[in-house]
Amino acid sequence: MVEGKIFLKTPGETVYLALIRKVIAEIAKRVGFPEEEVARIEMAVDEACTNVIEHSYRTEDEMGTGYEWRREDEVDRPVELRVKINREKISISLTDRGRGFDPSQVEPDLEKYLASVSMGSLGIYVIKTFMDEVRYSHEPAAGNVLRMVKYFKT
Amino acid sequence: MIGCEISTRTFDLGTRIVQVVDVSGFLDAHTSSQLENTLNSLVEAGDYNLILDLKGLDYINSASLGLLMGIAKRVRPQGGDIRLVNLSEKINKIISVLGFSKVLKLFDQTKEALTSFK
Repeated sequence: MVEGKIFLKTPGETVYLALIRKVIAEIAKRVGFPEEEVARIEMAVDEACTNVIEHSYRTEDEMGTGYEWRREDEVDRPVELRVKINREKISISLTDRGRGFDPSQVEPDLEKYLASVSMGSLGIYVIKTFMDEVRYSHEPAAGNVLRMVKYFKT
Repeated sequence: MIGCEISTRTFDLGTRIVQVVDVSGFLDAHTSSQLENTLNSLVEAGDYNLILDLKGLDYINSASLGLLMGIAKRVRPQGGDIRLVNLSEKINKIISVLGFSKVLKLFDQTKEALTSFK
C-alpha cells in the first residue's frame, strides 16, 4: 500500500473532467482498489467536479438566463482536489470558491430523481451511492469543501 | 480518443424504422450535449425506435443517463423505446448499481435489440 498526498488543480471547465477522471482512476487503481471500485470513485469525483463547474461556479445571472459562462472569470474558478491515502482509506477533498452545494439533505433515492423534472441532482445521488462518507463544509477562507471517503474492503 | 464520436445507422425492419446511434469515447459534462442534440433531432423527426450502441464507450455520467431516461419517457407513449447494447462490463455494472437497468432495456448485441422491436 502506498501512502501519501496528491494535489491536483485545474481550471473550472468541463474539458478538464477527462483529465481529472484519468488521474483519480489511476491513483485508485495503484493503491489497490479493484476495478469495480475504481470506476465508482472515478464517477463520484467526476460528478462532484461537474457540480462545482456547472452549479457552484455559475453566477445568479447565469442560473437565471441559461448556460452562459463568464469566460473572463474562469481563472478564479479553479477545481482543487486533494487526495490522501492511508492504510484504510482514500480521502478526496474537492474545494471550490463558488456558491457551493450541500448534499447533506439529499437522500440517495433514484425513484425521486427519475420523477423530478431536473436531473441535475442525479450527481449527488451518484456521489452518495458510490462513496462511503460524504461531508460538505463551508469556510470563508478555504471555500466550499466536499470530502469523499472510500474505505478499502478487508 | 478525445471526447466522443456519434454516428447514426438506419434499419428498416419492414414494420418499423429503427435508428441505431453509435457512441464511442466518453460522455461527460463536456460531451453529453452532442448525444442530447442527436437524440433530440431524431425524436423531433418522429424517430421513436432507438438503439444506443455503446461499443467503445468508456465513461457515462449521470446527466447522460438522465437524458436517456428523459428520451425513454418521450418515445414510449409513441410506441417506441430507447434500448442499449454493447455495454462494457464497467458501464453495465455502474448502470445496474445505480438502478437504471430497471428502467432502461439492455441487450448484449445490436441484432437482439433490433429483433426486440419487431
